[in-house]
Amino acid sequence: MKIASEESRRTLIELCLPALAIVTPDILRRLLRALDAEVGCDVLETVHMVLAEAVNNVVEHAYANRPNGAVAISVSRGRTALTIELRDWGAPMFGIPDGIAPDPSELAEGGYGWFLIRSLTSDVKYDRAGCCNRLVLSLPL
Amino acid sequence: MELTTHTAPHATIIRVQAARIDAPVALDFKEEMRTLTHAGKGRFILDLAQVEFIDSSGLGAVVAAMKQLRPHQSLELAELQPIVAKVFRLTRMDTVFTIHDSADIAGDENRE
Repeated sequence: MKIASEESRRTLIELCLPALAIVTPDILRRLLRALDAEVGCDVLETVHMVLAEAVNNVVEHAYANRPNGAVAISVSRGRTALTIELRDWGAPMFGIPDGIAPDPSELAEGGYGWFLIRSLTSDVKYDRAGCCNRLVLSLPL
Repeated sequence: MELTTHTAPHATIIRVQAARIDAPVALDFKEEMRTLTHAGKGRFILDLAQVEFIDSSGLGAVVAAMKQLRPHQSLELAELQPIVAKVFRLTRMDTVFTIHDSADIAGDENRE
């Protein structure tokens, strides 16, 4: 399935690196450096938060921390939104989690990741083509 | 992950000497907090002045650090930088922790 593009988008960066927890900060650093001149400080902070959760999800769930996977990320800019596309070749996702935040009084030690992604994005799409997972996140500019 | 401690008049201040509390270091952070808090007593203030970024794993580790305290111990937070403050606000964990602007001023206050 092709995501319809309602506006012309300009690719700002594309990369493909090992999906390993220890590599994640480096992936984020490279992406943020490429976007630094393109977007404001607020958007950059949001990109940092959303991408960290999305990459963690690939590392921990798609590949279940096995050291044999890659994650490909591209970020493109349209007139009103930034589009982040992540691809991996790990286990499929069965739908996009609702991302309901745990009740603070429960003192949960997890379950905040998808809540943060949902809270900070205007749109989340997921599809699987063959053995490739594709997650497309839109952030308003 | 490096954590340093400083004894203030009314608390032990634990300073995080790292820019990130995220997935690669979350478990380490939790275990080092356990060691530090089990060796001390009373009130702990976690100084996050140097922490520019926290993800959901890091947030979970801070929550875990509070849950693993012993009776009559408490964990408060100080000097949240913009992204850290945003994560705590969005998840409403800012309603669970006492948060201070300054770790040193908070450590000088008697809250027992």
